[in-house]
Amino acid sequence: MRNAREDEFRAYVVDARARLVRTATLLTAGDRHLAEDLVQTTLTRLYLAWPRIRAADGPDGYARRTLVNALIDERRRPFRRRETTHAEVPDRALHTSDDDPESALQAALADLPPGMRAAVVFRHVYDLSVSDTADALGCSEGNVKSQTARGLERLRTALTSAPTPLTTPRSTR
Amino acid sequence: MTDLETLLSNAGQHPGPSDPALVDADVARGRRALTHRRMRRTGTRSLLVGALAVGSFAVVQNQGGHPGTTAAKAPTTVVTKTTTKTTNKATTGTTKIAAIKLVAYTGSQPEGYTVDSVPSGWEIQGVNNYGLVIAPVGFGDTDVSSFEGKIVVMLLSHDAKPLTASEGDQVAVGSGTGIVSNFDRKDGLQLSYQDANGHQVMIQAPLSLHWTDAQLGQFAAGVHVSPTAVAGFG
Repeated sequence: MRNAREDEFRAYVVDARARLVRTATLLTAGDRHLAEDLVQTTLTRLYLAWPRIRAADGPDGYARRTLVNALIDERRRPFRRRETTHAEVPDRALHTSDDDPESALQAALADLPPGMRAAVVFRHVYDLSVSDTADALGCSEGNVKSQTARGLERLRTALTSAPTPLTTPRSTR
Repeated sequence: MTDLETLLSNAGQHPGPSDPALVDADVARGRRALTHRRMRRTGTRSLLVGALAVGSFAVVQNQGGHPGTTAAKAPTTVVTKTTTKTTNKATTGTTKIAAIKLVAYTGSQPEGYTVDSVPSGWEIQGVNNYGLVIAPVGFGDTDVSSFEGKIVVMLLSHDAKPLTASEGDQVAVGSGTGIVSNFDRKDGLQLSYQDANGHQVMIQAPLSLHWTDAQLGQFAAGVHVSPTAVAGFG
Protein backbone atom coordinates (compact mmCIF):
# COMPACT_ATOMS: atom_id res chain seq x y z
CA MET A 1 0.00 0.00 0.00
CA ARG A 2 2.46 2.60 -1.17
CA ASN A 3 1.62 6.20 -1.74
CA ALA A 4 3.00 8.94 -3.92
CA ARG A 5 4.63 10.86 -1.09
CA GLU A 6 6.61 7.87 0.05
CA ASP A 7 7.67 6.75 -3.41
CA GLU A 8 8.84 10.20 -4.43
CA PHE A 9 10.58 10.79 -1.14
CA ARG A 10 12.38 7.45 -1.36
CA ALA A 11 13.59 8.24 -4.86
CA TYR A 12 14.89 11.58 -3.68
CA VAL A 13 16.69 10.06 -0.68
CA VAL A 14 18.33 7.40 -2.86
CA ASP A 15 19.65 10.15 -5.09
CA ALA A 16 20.52 12.78 -2.52
CA ARG A 17 21.37 11.13 0.78
CA ALA A 18 25.09 10.60 0.25
CA ARG A 19 25.38 14.13 -1.09
CA LEU A 20 23.60 15.51 1.95
CA VAL A 21 25.87 13.58 4.30
CA ARG A 22 28.86 14.92 2.43
CA THR A 23 27.56 18.46 2.71
CA ALA A 24 26.74 18.02 6.38
CA THR A 25 30.19 16.61 7.03
CA LEU A 26 31.73 19.73 5.54
CA LEU A 27 29.34 21.99 7.43
CA THR A 28 30.31 20.26 10.67
CA ALA A 29 33.98 20.34 9.73
CA GLY A 30 34.37 16.57 9.66
CA ASP A 31 32.09 15.47 12.51
CA ARG A 32 30.53 12.50 10.72
CA HIS A 33 28.29 11.48 13.60
CA LEU A 34 26.81 14.94 13.94
CA ALA A 35 26.53 15.11 10.15
CA GLU A 36 24.49 11.90 10.10
CA ASP A 37 22.23 13.26 12.85
CA LEU A 38 21.69 16.46 10.90
CA VAL A 39 20.85 14.58 7.73
CA GLN A 40 18.34 12.38 9.54
CA THR A 41 16.71 15.46 11.04
CA THR A 42 16.69 17.14 7.65
CA LEU A 43 15.15 14.19 5.85
CA THR A 44 12.45 13.75 8.48
CA ARG A 45 11.48 17.41 8.12
CA LEU A 46 11.63 16.99 4.38
CA TYR A 47 9.20 14.07 4.52
CA LEU A 48 6.76 16.05 6.63
CA ALA A 49 6.87 18.99 4.26
CA TRP A 50 7.04 16.94 1.06
CA PRO A 51 3.75 17.98 -0.58
CA ARG A 52 4.55 21.65 0.01
CA ILE A 53 8.16 21.65 -1.13
CA ARG A 54 7.39 19.46 -4.12
CA ALA A 55 4.96 22.12 -5.27
CA ALA A 56 7.41 24.93 -4.54
CA ASP A 57 11.08 25.13 -5.47
CA GLY A 58 11.93 21.46 -5.10
CA PRO A 59 13.60 19.53 -2.32
CA ASP A 60 17.23 20.57 -2.79
CA GLY A 61 16.79 24.15 -1.66
CA TYR A 62 14.61 23.10 1.23
CA ALA A 63 17.13 20.43 2.24
CA ARG A 64 19.98 22.95 2.28
CA ARG A 65 18.01 25.42 4.38
CA THR A 66 16.91 22.71 6.78
CA LEU A 67 20.44 21.34 7.08
CA VAL A 68 21.77 24.75 8.05
CA ASN A 69 18.92 25.34 10.49
CA ALA A 70 19.47 21.92 12.05
CA LEU A 71 23.15 22.76 12.48
CA ILE A 72 22.31 26.10 14.08
CA ASP A 73 19.81 24.41 16.38
CA GLU A 74 22.44 21.89 17.34
CA ARG A 75 24.96 24.61 18.11
CA ARG A 76 22.42 26.40 20.30
CA ARG A 77 21.82 23.41 22.51
CA PRO A 78 22.94 24.21 26.05
CA PHE A 79 25.62 21.58 26.31
CA ARG A 80 27.24 23.03 23.24
CA ARG A 81 28.11 26.10 25.23
CA ARG A 82 29.99 24.05 27.74
CA GLU A 83 31.70 21.48 25.63
CA THR A 84 31.95 20.13 22.14
CA THR A 85 32.06 16.54 21.04
CA HIS A 86 34.10 15.09 18.24
CA ALA A 87 33.46 11.98 16.22
CA GLU A 88 36.99 10.74 16.61
CA VAL A 89 39.78 11.48 19.00
CA PRO A 90 42.52 13.31 17.11
CA ASP A 91 45.72 11.36 17.28
CA ARG A 92 47.93 13.94 15.71
CA ALA A 93 48.29 17.66 15.40
CA LEU A 94 45.66 19.16 13.16
CA HIS A 95 47.92 21.33 11.03
CA THR A 96 50.57 18.85 10.08
CA SER A 97 48.82 17.11 7.23
CA ASP A 98 50.36 18.42 4.05
CA ASP A 99 50.00 14.89 2.71
CA ASP A 100 46.27 14.80 3.51
CA PRO A 101 44.71 17.91 1.99
CA GLU A 102 41.17 16.93 2.96
CA SER A 103 42.01 16.62 6.62
CA ALA A 104 43.81 19.92 6.46
CA LEU A 105 40.80 21.51 4.82
CA GLN A 106 38.42 20.13 7.45
CA ALA A 107 40.69 21.35 10.21
CA ALA A 108 40.77 24.79 8.63
CA LEU A 109 37.00 24.77 8.14
CA ALA A 110 36.57 23.87 11.81
CA ASP A 111 38.16 27.16 12.76
CA LEU A 112 35.54 29.14 10.87
CA PRO A 113 32.27 30.22 12.48
CA PRO A 114 29.42 27.95 11.29
CA GLY A 115 27.76 30.61 9.14
CA MET A 116 30.99 31.57 7.44
CA ARG A 117 31.84 27.92 6.91
CA ALA A 118 28.44 27.26 5.34
CA ALA A 119 28.86 30.23 3.01
CA VAL A 120 32.22 28.92 1.79
CA VAL A 121 30.93 25.37 1.41
CA PHE A 122 27.83 26.31 -0.57
CA ARG A 123 29.60 28.85 -2.75
CA HIS A 124 32.87 27.09 -3.46
CA VAL A 125 32.25 23.40 -2.86
CA TYR A 126 28.82 23.19 -4.44
CA ASP A 127 29.04 26.22 -6.73
CA LEU A 128 25.75 27.65 -5.58
CA SER A 129 25.00 31.18 -6.67
CA VAL A 130 25.17 34.00 -4.18
CA SER A 131 21.40 34.16 -4.32
CA ASP A 132 20.92 30.45 -3.59
CA THR A 133 23.48 30.56 -0.81
CA ALA A 134 21.74 33.55 0.76
CA ASP A 135 18.49 31.62 0.56
CA ALA A 136 20.04 28.58 2.24
CA LEU A 137 21.58 30.67 5.00
CA GLY A 138 18.63 32.99 5.44
CA CYS A 139 20.75 36.11 5.06
CA SER A 140 21.39 38.86 2.53
CA GLU A 141 23.47 38.39 -0.59
CA GLY A 142 25.84 41.06 0.67
CA ASN A 143 26.39 39.07 3.81
CA VAL A 144 27.13 35.96 1.77
CA LYS A 145 29.75 37.82 -0.24
CA SER A 146 31.47 39.24 2.80
CA GLN A 147 31.33 35.97 4.73
CA THR A 148 32.69 34.06 1.76
CA ALA A 149 35.52 36.50 1.16
CA ARG A 150 36.56 36.49 4.79
CA GLY A 151 36.21 32.73 5.01
CA LEU A 152 38.40 32.12 1.99
CA GLU A 153 41.01 34.47 3.35
CA ARG A 154 41.08 32.66 6.66
CA LEU A 155 41.29 29.28 4.92
CA ARG A 156 44.22 30.44 2.79
CA THR A 157 45.99 31.69 5.85
CA ALA A 158 45.35 28.47 7.75
CA LEU A 159 46.36 26.18 4.92
CA THR A 160 49.53 28.00 3.99
CA SER A 161 50.77 28.69 7.51
CA ALA A 162 53.47 26.63 9.08
CA PRO A 163 52.39 23.58 11.09
CA THR A 164 51.48 24.45 14.64
CA PRO A 165 53.59 22.61 17.18
CA LEU A 166 51.77 20.77 19.89
CA THR A 167 53.71 22.60 22.58
CA THR A 168 55.37 25.95 22.57
CA PRO A 169 59.11 25.66 23.18
CA ARG A 170 60.36 27.48 26.22
CA SER A 171 62.43 30.51 25.45
CA THR A 172 66.03 30.30 26.45
CA ARG A 173 67.86 33.25 27.75
CA MET B 1 49.80 22.22 -0.88
CA THR B 2 46.94 21.96 -3.35
CA ASP B 3 45.46 25.36 -4.15
CA LEU B 4 42.39 26.27 -2.16
CA GLU B 5 39.92 26.43 -5.04
CA THR B 6 40.83 22.91 -6.19
CA LEU B 7 40.71 21.63 -2.64
CA LEU B 8 37.22 23.02 -2.09
CA SER B 9 35.98 21.81 -5.43
CA ASN B 10 37.24 18.29 -4.78
CA ALA B 11 35.66 18.23 -1.35
CA GLY B 12 32.18 17.86 -2.80
CA GLN B 13 32.99 15.18 -5.33
CA HIS B 14 32.11 11.51 -5.39
CA PRO B 15 29.93 11.16 -2.33
CA GLY B 16 29.24 7.53 -3.26
CA PRO B 17 25.93 5.66 -3.38
CA SER B 18 23.33 5.85 -0.64
CA ASP B 19 23.09 2.83 1.63
CA PRO B 20 19.68 1.17 0.97
CA ALA B 21 19.28 0.31 4.65
CA LEU B 22 19.76 3.96 5.59
CA VAL B 23 17.27 5.00 2.93
CA ASP B 24 14.72 2.57 4.35
CA ALA B 25 15.34 3.95 7.82
CA ASP B 26 14.89 7.52 6.58
CA VAL B 27 11.59 6.66 4.95
CA ALA B 28 10.36 4.82 8.05
CA ARG B 29 11.45 7.71 10.27
CA GLY B 30 9.59 10.21 8.12
CA ARG B 31 6.49 8.06 8.03
CA ARG B 32 6.48 7.69 11.80
CA ALA B 33 7.00 11.41 12.28
CA LEU B 34 4.09 12.14 9.96
CA THR B 35 1.81 9.71 11.75
CA HIS B 36 2.90 11.10 15.08
CA ARG B 37 2.24 14.66 13.99
CA ARG B 38 -1.15 13.80 12.63
CA MET B 39 -2.15 12.15 15.84
CA ARG B 40 -0.83 14.91 18.04
CA ARG B 41 -1.47 18.04 16.14
CA THR B 42 -3.73 20.64 17.57
CA GLY B 43 -5.78 23.22 15.85
CA THR B 44 -6.70 21.01 12.93
CA ARG B 45 -10.27 21.93 13.22
CA SER B 46 -11.00 20.67 9.75
CA LEU B 47 -10.39 17.17 10.98
CA LEU B 48 -13.14 17.29 13.51
CA VAL B 49 -15.45 19.85 12.02
CA GLY B 50 -18.78 19.64 13.67
CA ALA B 51 -17.50 17.80 16.69
CA LEU B 52 -19.91 17.84 19.53
CA ALA B 53 -19.49 19.99 22.58
CA VAL B 54 -18.41 18.69 25.93
CA GLY B 55 -21.23 17.25 27.90
CA SER B 56 -23.40 16.43 24.95
CA PHE B 57 -22.75 12.81 25.49
CA ALA B 58 -23.43 10.70 28.45
CA VAL B 59 -20.97 10.38 31.24
CA VAL B 60 -20.06 6.99 32.45
CA GLN B 61 -19.52 6.73 36.15
CA ASN B 62 -20.16 3.10 36.87
CA GLN B 63 -17.01 2.40 38.77
CA GLY B 64 -16.83 -0.90 40.55
CA GLY B 65 -19.12 -2.61 38.11
CA HIS B 66 -22.27 -0.72 39.09
CA PRO B 67 -24.23 0.77 36.25
CA GLY B 68 -23.84 4.49 36.40
CA THR B 69 -26.04 7.34 35.50
CA THR B 70 -25.88 8.42 31.92
CA ALA B 71 -27.08 11.97 32.21
CA ALA B 72 -24.62 14.67 31.24
CA LYS B 73 -23.06 16.20 34.32
CA ALA B 74 -21.43 19.51 35.02
CA PRO B 75 -17.67 19.08 34.63
CA THR B 76 -17.06 20.01 38.23
CA THR B 77 -19.14 17.19 39.64
CA VAL B 78 -16.80 14.42 38.65
CA VAL B 79 -13.05 14.60 38.72
CA THR B 80 -10.97 11.78 37.42
CA LYS B 81 -7.79 11.05 39.25
CA THR B 82 -5.13 8.54 38.60
CA THR B 83 -4.86 6.52 41.74
CA THR B 84 -1.68 5.19 43.20
CA LYS B 85 -1.59 1.99 45.13
CA THR B 86 0.81 -0.64 46.22
CA THR B 87 0.69 -3.89 44.40
CA ASN B 88 0.09 -7.12 46.20
CA LYS B 89 3.41 -8.50 45.15
CA ALA B 90 4.99 -8.65 48.54
CA THR B 91 8.03 -10.30 47.12
CA THR B 92 8.98 -7.27 45.11
CA GLY B 93 7.58 -4.54 47.29
CA THR B 94 7.34 -2.28 44.26
CA THR B 95 4.84 0.51 43.85
CA LYS B 96 3.12 1.02 40.53
CA ILE B 97 0.48 3.28 39.13
CA ALA B 98 -2.79 1.45 38.54
CA ALA B 99 -4.12 1.48 35.03
CA ILE B 100 -7.50 3.08 34.57
CA LYS B 101 -9.96 0.27 33.99
CA LEU B 102 -12.36 -0.03 31.13
CA VAL B 103 -16.04 0.14 31.94
CA ALA B 104 -19.00 -0.55 29.73
CA TYR B 105 -20.22 2.47 27.84
CA THR B 106 -23.90 2.93 28.36
CA GLY B 107 -24.43 6.39 26.95
CA SER B 108 -25.64 7.40 23.53
CA GLN B 109 -23.50 6.01 20.78
CA PRO B 110 -21.96 8.63 18.52
CA GLU B 111 -22.15 8.67 14.75
CA GLY B 112 -19.14 7.49 12.84
CA TYR B 113 -17.67 5.40 15.63
CA THR B 114 -19.26 3.41 18.42
CA VAL B 115 -17.58 2.05 21.51
CA ASP B 116 -18.30 -0.84 23.81
CA SER B 117 -16.27 0.57 26.68
CA VAL B 118 -14.45 3.67 27.87
CA PRO B 119 -11.91 4.20 30.65
CA SER B 120 -13.58 4.61 33.99
CA GLY B 121 -14.27 8.30 34.57
CA TRP B 122 -13.80 9.21 30.92
CA GLU B 123 -16.36 10.51 28.48
CA ILE B 124 -16.77 11.01 24.79
CA GLN B 125 -15.68 14.57 24.24
CA GLY B 126 -16.38 14.88 20.54
CA VAL B 127 -16.94 12.88 17.43
CA ASN B 128 -17.75 13.15 13.80
CA ASN B 129 -17.12 11.05 10.72
CA TYR B 130 -13.40 11.85 10.89
CA GLY B 131 -12.58 10.90 14.43
CA LEU B 132 -13.59 10.19 17.98
CA VAL B 133 -12.10 11.96 21.02
CA ILE B 134 -12.43 10.56 24.54
CA ALA B 135 -11.22 12.53 27.56
CA PRO B 136 -11.48 12.43 31.34
CA VAL B 137 -14.66 13.94 32.68
CA GLY B 138 -13.95 17.56 33.53
CA PHE B 139 -10.77 17.63 31.48
CA GLY B 140 -9.46 21.17 31.22
CA ASP B 141 -8.79 21.08 27.49
CA THR B 142 -12.22 20.95 25.93
CA ASP B 143 -11.01 21.63 22.39
CA VAL B 144 -11.90 18.49 20.48
CA SER B 145 -9.21 19.35 17.94
CA SER B 146 -6.58 19.09 20.64
CA PHE B 147 -5.50 15.54 21.34
CA GLU B 148 -3.07 15.95 24.23
CA GLY B 149 -4.03 13.74 27.16
CA LYS B 150 -6.96 12.21 25.31
CA ILE B 151 -7.83 9.03 23.46
CA VAL B 152 -8.18 9.63 19.75
CA VAL B 153 -9.67 7.14 17.29
CA MET B 154 -9.52 7.80 13.58
CA LEU B 155 -9.08 6.11 10.28
CA LEU B 156 -5.59 6.15 8.86
CA SER B 157 -5.07 9.10 6.57
CA HIS B 158 -5.35 8.33 2.86
CA ASP B 159 -1.69 9.17 2.25
CA ALA B 160 -0.27 7.35 5.26
CA LYS B 161 0.73 3.74 5.70
CA PRO B 162 -0.18 1.42 8.54
CA LEU B 163 2.54 0.56 11.01
CA THR B 164 4.54 -2.50 10.13
CA ALA B 165 5.70 -5.26 12.44
CA SER B 166 9.21 -3.81 12.50
CA GLU B 167 7.91 -0.50 13.81
CA GLY B 168 6.27 -1.73 16.98
CA ASP B 169 4.96 -4.56 19.06
CA GLN B 170 2.14 -6.84 18.06
CA VAL B 171 -0.98 -6.87 20.21
CA ALA B 172 -4.30 -8.67 20.06
CA VAL B 173 -7.29 -6.62 18.95
CA GLY B 174 -10.32 -8.84 19.22
CA SER B 175 -9.75 -11.78 16.91
CA GLY B 176 -7.15 -9.84 14.93
CA THR B 177 -3.88 -8.16 15.70
CA GLY B 178 -2.50 -4.65 15.68
CA ILE B 179 0.82 -2.92 16.08
CA VAL B 180 1.65 -0.57 18.94
CA SER B 181 4.28 1.84 17.69
CA ASN B 182 7.64 1.97 19.38
CA PHE B 183 8.04 5.57 18.25
CA ASP B 184 7.86 8.02 21.12
CA ARG B 185 6.37 5.66 23.63
CA LYS B 186 7.32 8.21 26.22
CA ASP B 187 4.50 10.39 24.92
CA GLY B 188 1.80 7.75 24.71
CA LEU B 189 0.65 4.61 22.95
CA GLN B 190 -0.26 4.52 19.30
CA LEU B 191 -2.05 1.51 17.88
CA SER B 192 -2.55 0.70 14.21
CA TYR B 193 -4.77 -2.15 13.11
CA GLN B 194 -7.21 -3.30 10.50
CA ASP B 195 -10.69 -4.04 11.78
CA ALA B 196 -12.94 -6.86 10.67
CA ASN B 197 -14.44 -4.70 7.93
CA GLY B 198 -11.09 -3.75 6.48
CA HIS B 199 -10.82 -0.26 7.98
CA GLN B 200 -7.30 0.88 8.85
CA VAL B 201 -7.74 2.35 12.31
CA MET B 202 -5.33 4.42 14.39
CA ILE B 203 -5.82 4.89 18.13
CA GLN B 204 -3.72 7.10 20.34
CA ALA B 205 -3.87 6.70 24.11
CA PRO B 206 -2.13 8.99 26.62
CA LEU B 207 0.26 7.80 29.29
CA SER B 208 -2.12 9.03 31.98
CA LEU B 209 -4.17 5.85 31.42
CA HIS B 210 -1.17 3.72 32.40
CA TRP B 211 -2.34 1.12 29.94
CA THR B 212 -0.35 -1.77 28.68
CA ASP B 213 -0.40 -2.60 24.99
CA ALA B 214 -2.85 -5.39 25.75
CA GLN B 215 -5.23 -3.01 27.50
CA LEU B 216 -5.13 -0.66 24.53
CA GLY B 217 -5.88 -3.65 22.30
CA GLN B 218 -8.78 -4.56 24.57
CA PHE B 219 -10.20 -1.05 24.20
CA ALA B 220 -9.68 -1.17 20.44
CA ALA B 221 -11.60 -4.42 20.22
CA GLY B 222 -14.65 -2.51 21.42
CA VAL B 223 -14.35 0.23 18.85
CA HIS B 224 -16.62 -0.11 15.83
CA VAL B 225 -16.21 1.99 12.74
CA SER B 226 -19.47 2.95 11.09
CA PRO B 227 -19.85 3.05 7.34
CA THR B 228 -20.11 6.82 7.54
CA ALA B 229 -16.60 7.20 8.97
CA VAL B 230 -14.10 8.60 6.50
CA ALA B 231 -10.33 8.94 6.50
CA GLY B 232 -8.78 12.37 6.39
CA PHE B 233 -6.06 13.75 4.19
CA GLY B 234 -2.80 15.33 5.20
